[in-house]
Amino acid sequence: MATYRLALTGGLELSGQIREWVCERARTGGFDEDTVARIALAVSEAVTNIVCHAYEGRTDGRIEATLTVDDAALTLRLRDYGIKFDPDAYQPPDLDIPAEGGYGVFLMHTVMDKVQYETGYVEGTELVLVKER
Amino acid sequence: MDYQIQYDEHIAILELHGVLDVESAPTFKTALQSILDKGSNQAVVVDMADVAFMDSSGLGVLIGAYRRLNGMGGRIALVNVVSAVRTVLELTRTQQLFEMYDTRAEAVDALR
Repeated sequence: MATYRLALTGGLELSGQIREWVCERARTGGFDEDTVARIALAVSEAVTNIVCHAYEGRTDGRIEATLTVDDAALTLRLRDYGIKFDPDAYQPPDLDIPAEGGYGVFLMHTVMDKVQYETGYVEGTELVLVKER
Repeated sequence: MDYQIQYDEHIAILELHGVLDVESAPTFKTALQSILDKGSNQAVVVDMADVAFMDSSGLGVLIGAYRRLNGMGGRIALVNVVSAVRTVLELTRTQQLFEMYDTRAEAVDALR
């Protein structure tokens, strides 16, 4: 089992930075390119939501990433200190009506095996994304 | 991300280089906007050969362009769509909005 940690402060650029960081380690951990592409999509959507919603587009948002790759799965934990996400308020998009936004959480759930929000912190949220082998 | 715009008669060909995510989406939107601002009955071919990744931010720009073109009698086609980008279109069921071709020549012929 390999565990990696990364802590970054910034804005929209964090989406690409954390996506590339995770993908590189997923490849090293033996995930095929199709699966890595799906993981990349989930990470991109997750970090975009953190920057745009939890941190409301600020350029000084802190995200702590903990990535574990083992024989069973890839598990990514993304901790933020912004506005808490309320999973109960989430409304999935109506796929019969194309929209210019609102697909992020839907895509995360579609391409990953587990998406879980830990909201019990005094400040912020921890998002857990799991992709099984 | 960077881009080039060429014209084949009335057909605009937008060639993209890079990833389409939340950071690059505004640049992509500006590129499409500059084409659409030229008037009605526009035909746009978006060459995505060098776009290895797109998330919902990039998709949102594409859908916005589709809506605007559709509302003014224009057309939009995507060419050289790689598997990772096609997956996003399929998962969101938005692939049906776009004409898709394997080559730029096929797309230009279809939109001519």
